[in-house]
Amino acid sequence: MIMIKTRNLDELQLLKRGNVFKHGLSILVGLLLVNALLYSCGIDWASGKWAELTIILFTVVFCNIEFICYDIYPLTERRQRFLFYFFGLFGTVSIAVCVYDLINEQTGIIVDEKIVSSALGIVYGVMFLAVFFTYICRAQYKARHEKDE
Amino acid sequence: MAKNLRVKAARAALDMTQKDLAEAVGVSRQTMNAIEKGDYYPSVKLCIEICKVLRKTLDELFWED
Repeated sequence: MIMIKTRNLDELQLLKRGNVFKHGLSILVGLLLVNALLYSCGIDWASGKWAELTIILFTVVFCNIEFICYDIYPLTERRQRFLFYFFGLFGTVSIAVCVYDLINEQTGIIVDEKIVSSALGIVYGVMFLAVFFTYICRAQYKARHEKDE
Repeated sequence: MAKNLRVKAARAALDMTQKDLAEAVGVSRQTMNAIEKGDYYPSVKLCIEICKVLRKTLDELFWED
């Protein structure tokens, strides 16, 4: 029997990946439009380019979570595992540093009706941790239910 | 979608797991599971690969009356 070793995504994974990108694009466009609408109404919720960066990062995180849930990533591959562990570490460090920063500066989370960058750093950390925990949950779920299927 | 029990039966007859069959045809185990559960209709190319590995014809595995 000839064994075809796969490194690329198969047809179903490609189909699902296309759907994930479609969702990501819709969310990105939608959120950018809402942000522009808020901006035109005089509501500037984050200073400078942080608003757009937050929206882009949210979209990337959303796509990553969908990739994990749809099994597009080979979860057991060592390279992927290190990437998600890095996400977890980065998220934890980001939250710790930003909380320390907020406590030291003695400023609130919102200054001049805008979310300060340190508070946004916590949000970014939470987003990275969300990807990490999704990976952990999915990997454990797969390990438990692999034989059931 | 209806389950494709014929693929499952042919695979079991050759004492293969979903993982074995998936590796033999070059797809992920999740894709093979989706095919057997009837959640996904594979391309003709993939159907032919599955038929070759399971030593069956396209009609035997995928034809629906």
